[in-house]
Amino acid sequence: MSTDTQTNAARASAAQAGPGPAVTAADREEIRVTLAAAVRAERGSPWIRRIGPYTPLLLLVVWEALSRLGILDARFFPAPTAIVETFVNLLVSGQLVADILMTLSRIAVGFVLGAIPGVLLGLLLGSVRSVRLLLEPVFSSLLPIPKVAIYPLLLLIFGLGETSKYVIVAIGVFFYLFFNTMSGVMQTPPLFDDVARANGASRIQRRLTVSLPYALPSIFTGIKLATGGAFVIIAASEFVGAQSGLGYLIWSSWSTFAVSKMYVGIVTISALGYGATALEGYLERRLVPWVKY
Amino acid sequence: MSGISVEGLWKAYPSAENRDEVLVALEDVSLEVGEREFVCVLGPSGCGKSTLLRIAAGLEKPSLGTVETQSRPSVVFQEHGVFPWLTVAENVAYPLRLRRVPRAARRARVAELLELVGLTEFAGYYPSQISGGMRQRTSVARALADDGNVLLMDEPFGALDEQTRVALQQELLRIWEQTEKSVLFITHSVDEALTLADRVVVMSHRPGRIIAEVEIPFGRPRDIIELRRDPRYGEITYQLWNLLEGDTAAEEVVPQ
Ligand SMILES: Nc1ncnc2c1ncn2[C@@H]1O[C@H](COP(=O)(O)OP(=O)(O)OP(=O)(O)O)[C@@H](O)[C@H]1O
Ligand SMILES: [Mg+2]
Repeated sequence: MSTDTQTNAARASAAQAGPGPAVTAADREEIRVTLAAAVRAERGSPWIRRIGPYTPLLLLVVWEALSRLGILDARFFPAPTAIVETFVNLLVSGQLVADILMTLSRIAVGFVLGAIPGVLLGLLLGSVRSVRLLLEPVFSSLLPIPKVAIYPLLLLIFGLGETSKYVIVAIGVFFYLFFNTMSGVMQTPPLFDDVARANGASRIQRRLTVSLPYALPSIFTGIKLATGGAFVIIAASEFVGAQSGLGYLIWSSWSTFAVSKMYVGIVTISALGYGATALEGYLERRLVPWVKY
Repeated sequence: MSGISVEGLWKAYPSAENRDEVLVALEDVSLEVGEREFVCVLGPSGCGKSTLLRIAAGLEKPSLGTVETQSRPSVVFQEHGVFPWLTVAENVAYPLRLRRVPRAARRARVAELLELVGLTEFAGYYPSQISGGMRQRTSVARALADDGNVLLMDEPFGALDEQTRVALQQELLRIWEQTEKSVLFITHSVDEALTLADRVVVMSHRPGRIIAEVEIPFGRPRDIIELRRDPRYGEITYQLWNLLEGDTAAEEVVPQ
């Protein structure tokens, strides 16, 4: 690194002054600063990176204007400020926080219950051909069943309690992680498996030190998709099978025509989903540092 | 027991063109690498050198014949196979981690090896952030960390500049002279073969057969720069080139 900088500096000074005096420390510092700026420039404009996360706010501003101007029907599209008022009321009464915690805990428990077997089975089927040939058709045929469609059955089996919610989220999450893990593992170049074998790695060591890290980027894709899916599933099941949670909040406001309240529920779900994806993005950058973003 | 012993080895693959045919990659190959011996396999592209090495490494089965090695070989792969998800230092530490070598011992050994291949500064870099030659050096360091008695190397210095290559060749000889390793080293460079080997095994065009074995008379330890001044150097180079060319000529005269 330092020799590169020196030769560049030497060249730069030769270009300016011909075979003149040697490069001074000041020249070198100047070139270092120029190089650092060039490296930053290649990473893209800092403005775009900084503004990016806030573009949803812009949407709200446009909405507010349209609603105030009467272009949007305020009965169905109340202005964001009106929604904020309802939001504050619900927050103060403690109902919103209770609903948020309820929904999040259902998603969290269900997610863990679905993701772990999804990744493990994905690893297994992705790396053992015979097991894949036997079992993949089973999972492929279960995949297209709308998860919400089996909810009534789950209610019969597990009752109206929390278990039925955990299970429905787990089932949805499972498929995302299962298929993404499996395809990541199947794409592992055989060379990497050979390297592990040549180093005396056991079967399980090969799965953990080669297949798993190789599939990790695609596992993260699965996690992100599953997060979206989990919110859809939990909202739908809270519509009908719960007396708490954000889904219930939305559903109960429909029956009382409390449109602002409905929006509070919708926006809260959107914000939670956004937050969850952001958290996952952060984890991904920490856990998959070899992939360039 | 010898380091590696290959007897009557044949290897065929299913032909991609015709279902009933097979593609013969190795034809009746027998070869012995003595304990502490350094043998180079020299042959043109596609003659089955990598196939031979993969079978010796236990990664593929012979179609016919037997291959025995004194212990599980350490391997440097032609396409280096450095893991993209591990840093340079973690890649080198990989075989040690598999064997559950304690962290402190692992660190010390890795530092030593990185120093040896000149990658100390790049210990924390990911393979995507270093050059092709650096990745290859990483894979050499990893095989040395594995530290088996048998070392299989598949054109490990192929992608390096001449200067680095010579430095690493010298380093490899130094390491080998200090240890008990039996080495099977694959190359398509005449120069490299006679610089390193005690014995050069010359292979024909596909299907790979052994057409000659040439003893290299230079003593040990070797200074591979000084070696170039030895009058025998030119002679052996000439001899090896003739063997390789003779094989090509023969193939041209007897078309199939
Ligand atoms: N898995 C495989 N399936 C089918 N054919 C193969 C396979 N592996 C190797 N071969 C064939 O075997 C022959 C020898 O290949 P090999 O890789 O051993 O050559 P090589 O001598 O190492 O060549 P190079 O110097 O270019 O690396 C080639 O014709 C190749 O097509
Ligand atoms: Mg090869």
